[in-house]
Amino acid sequence: MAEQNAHAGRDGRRGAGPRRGLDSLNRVHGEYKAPAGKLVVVDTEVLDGRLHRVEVTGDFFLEPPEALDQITAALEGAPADLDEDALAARIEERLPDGAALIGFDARAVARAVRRALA
Amino acid sequence: MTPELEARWRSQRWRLIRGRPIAAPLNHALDEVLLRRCGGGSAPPTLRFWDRLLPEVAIGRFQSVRNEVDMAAADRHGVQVVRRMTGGGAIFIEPANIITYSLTGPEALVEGLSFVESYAFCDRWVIAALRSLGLDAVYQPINDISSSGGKIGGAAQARRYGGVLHHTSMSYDLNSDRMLEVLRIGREKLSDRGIASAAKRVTPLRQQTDLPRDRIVERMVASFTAIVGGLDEEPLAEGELAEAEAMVETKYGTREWTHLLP
Repeated sequence: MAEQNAHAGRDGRRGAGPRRGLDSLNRVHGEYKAPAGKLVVVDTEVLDGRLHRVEVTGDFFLEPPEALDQITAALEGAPADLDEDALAARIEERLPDGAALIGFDARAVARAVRRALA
Repeated sequence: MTPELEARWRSQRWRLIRGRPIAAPLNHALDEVLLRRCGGGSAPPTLRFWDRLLPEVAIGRFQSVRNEVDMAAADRHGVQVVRRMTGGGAIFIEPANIITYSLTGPEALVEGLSFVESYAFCDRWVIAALRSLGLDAVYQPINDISSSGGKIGGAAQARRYGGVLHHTSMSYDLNSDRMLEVLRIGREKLSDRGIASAAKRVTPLRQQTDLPRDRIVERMVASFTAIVGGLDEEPLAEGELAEAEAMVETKYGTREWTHLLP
């Protein structure tokens, strides 16, 4: 599906906003949208081979909303060479009990990470 | 399950609120105040139609403001950007062009339904209203109202504080040039290089029916009244408005909240 294209390295979206300055030069951007699901966007840097300053955003639904902090924390510091399975497992491990991910899942986030790093 | 829930909706005394245009952050704060109060039992279940003063972009709780909005263009056109408490995608809103409503009530109103099921359930009266006006409206999971003419609107939900908030915005008319200036996703769509979070093309109601906006809203009110059995139009309680105004200062009107995910 056309809706599943990767967008890593698309300057139009990631460089936007002069506030980001030089920082944005090192940031990579990846997106994934599952079929009939919601868009997951990952922006990150890689520092010493690990994910650094990870941001996970998108038009998904998540309850409780604070679970986003756990998703981001699960990725922060993760080795940049982890594959999709390992990244998804890391996220699932950190998700609080009862967290509801609607329109996406840990794997969709993992895929967006891999696309950002591709 | 559903017949029981429908009976539960009918057993409540519902309140209708509409008719007073207010600033964007106050509209969003009211949703949270009513959700908290309905969840705690200190407010009756409420159907609220939003009335607005000025153009607005409402971004989803989990969206990056810079990925969604061209802030310079928004400033240039006097468009206020507000982050919702619910997930979902960015919407460009001009007051007369969008119909927005919020349902707030105790979480028992959607008990036993999955999130995906409850989206369609909470908007079932809207689909009925649009069909009665001659549109072939359908619910398109997870959260879209569509017809054969295209996407009409989208919903978002939060279940917190013992309550449920379900709010939906439908496009009545659209200044697409302005939208494309302000929303980055609009630009991506045009460039045809791929997706955007709200990739489906919106076809405003006005292109699908000749009816004035007010007629559509009236029909929606009638449809909701039919499913719940009665609806009392009331102004907001004084305390509700005061609480929402305070919440504008601490949350919805602040840069910290709007730029929570920069």
